[in-house]
Amino acid sequence: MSAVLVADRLVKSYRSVRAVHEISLEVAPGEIYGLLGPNGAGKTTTLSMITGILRPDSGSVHIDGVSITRARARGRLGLVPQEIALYPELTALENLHFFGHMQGRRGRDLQRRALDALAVVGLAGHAKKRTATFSGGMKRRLNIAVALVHSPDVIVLDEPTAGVDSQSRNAILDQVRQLADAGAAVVFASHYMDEVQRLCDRIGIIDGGEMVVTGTVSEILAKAVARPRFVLTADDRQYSELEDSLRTLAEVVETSVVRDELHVLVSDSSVNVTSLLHVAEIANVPLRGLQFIRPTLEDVFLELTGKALRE
Amino acid sequence: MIMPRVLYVMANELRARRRDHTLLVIAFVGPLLFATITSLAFAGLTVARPVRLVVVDGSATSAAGGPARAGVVASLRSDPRMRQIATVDGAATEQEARRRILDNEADAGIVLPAGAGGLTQAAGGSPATAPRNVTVTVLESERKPVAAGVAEAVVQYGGGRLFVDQVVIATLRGTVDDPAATLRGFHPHNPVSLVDVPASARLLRSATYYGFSMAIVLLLFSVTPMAKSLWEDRRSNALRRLLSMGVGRGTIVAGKALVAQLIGMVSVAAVWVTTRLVFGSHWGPPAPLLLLIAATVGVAVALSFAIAALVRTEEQMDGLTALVTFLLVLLGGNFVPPAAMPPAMRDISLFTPNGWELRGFVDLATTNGGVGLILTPLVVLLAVIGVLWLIAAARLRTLMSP
Repeated sequence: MSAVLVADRLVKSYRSVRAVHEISLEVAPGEIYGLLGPNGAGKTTTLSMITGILRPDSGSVHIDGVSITRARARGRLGLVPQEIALYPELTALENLHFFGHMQGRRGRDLQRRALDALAVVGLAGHAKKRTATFSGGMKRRLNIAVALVHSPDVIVLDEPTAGVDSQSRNAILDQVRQLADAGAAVVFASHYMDEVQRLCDRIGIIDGGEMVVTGTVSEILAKAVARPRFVLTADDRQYSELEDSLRTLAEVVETSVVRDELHVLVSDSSVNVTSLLHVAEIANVPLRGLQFIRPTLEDVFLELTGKALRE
Repeated sequence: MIMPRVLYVMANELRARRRDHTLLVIAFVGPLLFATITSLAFAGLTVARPVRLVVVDGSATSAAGGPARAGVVASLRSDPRMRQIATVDGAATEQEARRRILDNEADAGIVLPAGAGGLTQAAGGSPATAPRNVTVTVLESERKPVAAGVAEAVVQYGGGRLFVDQVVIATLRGTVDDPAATLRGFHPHNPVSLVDVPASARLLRSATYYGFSMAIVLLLFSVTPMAKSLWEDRRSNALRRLLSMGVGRGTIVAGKALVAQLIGMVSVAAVWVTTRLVFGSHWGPPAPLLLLIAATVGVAVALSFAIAALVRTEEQMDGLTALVTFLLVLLGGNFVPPAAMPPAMRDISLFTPNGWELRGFVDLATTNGGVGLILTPLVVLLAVIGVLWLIAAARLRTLMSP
């Protein structure tokens, strides 16, 4: 399906500091695009340009071929900012009405959309309660509902699960998935690797204002140098003989003992577990535990940028 | 009809202010308390002063005031007996003399006859054309009978003859070689007839002055911090969300500023109504008064957004707002009326917007004049508003950037 959101070679500098350099991305309807990057990577600047808040030095953003600088394109985009961008003294419905008005919606149509948006985020029963009385998770969900009140085709979420409990987090991720399933193109920026890996169809990793890598999760993992590995634990913790035996297997790349555990790096994840167990048996090493670990986005991120995501 | 976005911003701001009780406190509770306290506290306040006379040429149309005024002022000042009982100063016009008495900058006024020019011609030319009656007007304030008595005594000294002589000599000085010799041929009958008129249609009570003055103080303390909501919207990212919706920065600022203006005007109006109904204070004719109130509130609102644009944190805004407010109320004359200030401080008060606001108010409260009476203060206040908004506009873009 052709992309509804197209950001093309976005460039932004602040005086002599280059914040973003030639970042491009495309998101199709029904697709969730994950944007990953440490603090200061240029993520927020990129999102600001995508949402039309910030004018790029060069490059362009289009929604269905219409420049984001046009009101028609802005009206098809919904932003969920990282902070709770709500008025605490107003009720949930009043918040939706205000931002709906700002999007040009009026009357019964707005009322219907506001109630629908509340239903989507599971707050239908709290429409007339003041936002100040909401829990953190409820505020987060209302924060998302505000971005939905005008039924946008493109939804940009900036760290929508920051600081919420796991139950609310799961609910939010489910809602984001439902929005994409309903046909919205979603840009999802997050610090949480696991939720990006679980939720996003494609991912872009930004560092130093540049797009380091982009693709599906499996494509990115395939590019990684990081290998899958087995972690073995034995009662007597005598691994030297076992290591020698394991190295005779063609799939084993490297072995090492880390904190009383034997880490066995393999060339790919197709290694037969039974062959490992067989080797251990021959070496007469009774195993207490065996764990298979695939490389994660965290590993790839560390590999590509040389820093942890939350640095 | 589709409401413009700015009205939705206003409605939202107003609703938020109502819910957090700011509207109630600033527009109603605060003004009622201030009006009551100041009216009670300043009701009996009077300030004793030395007798200060102001002399004006009744026919003068320019600030120079004409040779008669300058000559009489110099003559009275040079009299050692006069120096013991009064100080004498000149005023450009009768209106200015009246205002100075009302502002407590002078205690009584002497208006030289409009025919001072005629006296000159008569004395230098044909005595037959000399006016037979000369009317000298004494401007007096009911609150200062002693000062009025001094002014009358000066005019009537020597049966009025000596005073007229002084006027004529002063007028002729520079035009003839020997004014005194010329004067000897000039003897009008009944040289002085005294007309006492109150310096204004209305006396300015201390409670009235401080009612308006304290309304300004309340305004500076309550309305000036209102632009802080811009910082709050920035902190909560509501600003970012609005900008992403294509809502212009100007729309957001205009909505918030108009609400601040509205609340400020209700606040001052509440003080006005309270002092009027409960304490009988008269603030002047409603139409020009409303214009002055609008300009006064406009200054507070513009100041608020200028400060919000200049600072870098919300805490800085609190500090700077308090500092500016204290400086303005101290220098402008809100606590000490300009008339009671030393001359230098009186001049400094004119460098503050509230100094001009008070000046305009005094003019209105003591006369039944129209907008023309407060034209100068209005122009000054509009200029101040313009400058403050220019400062705000230059810096608000930074505050409102993502």
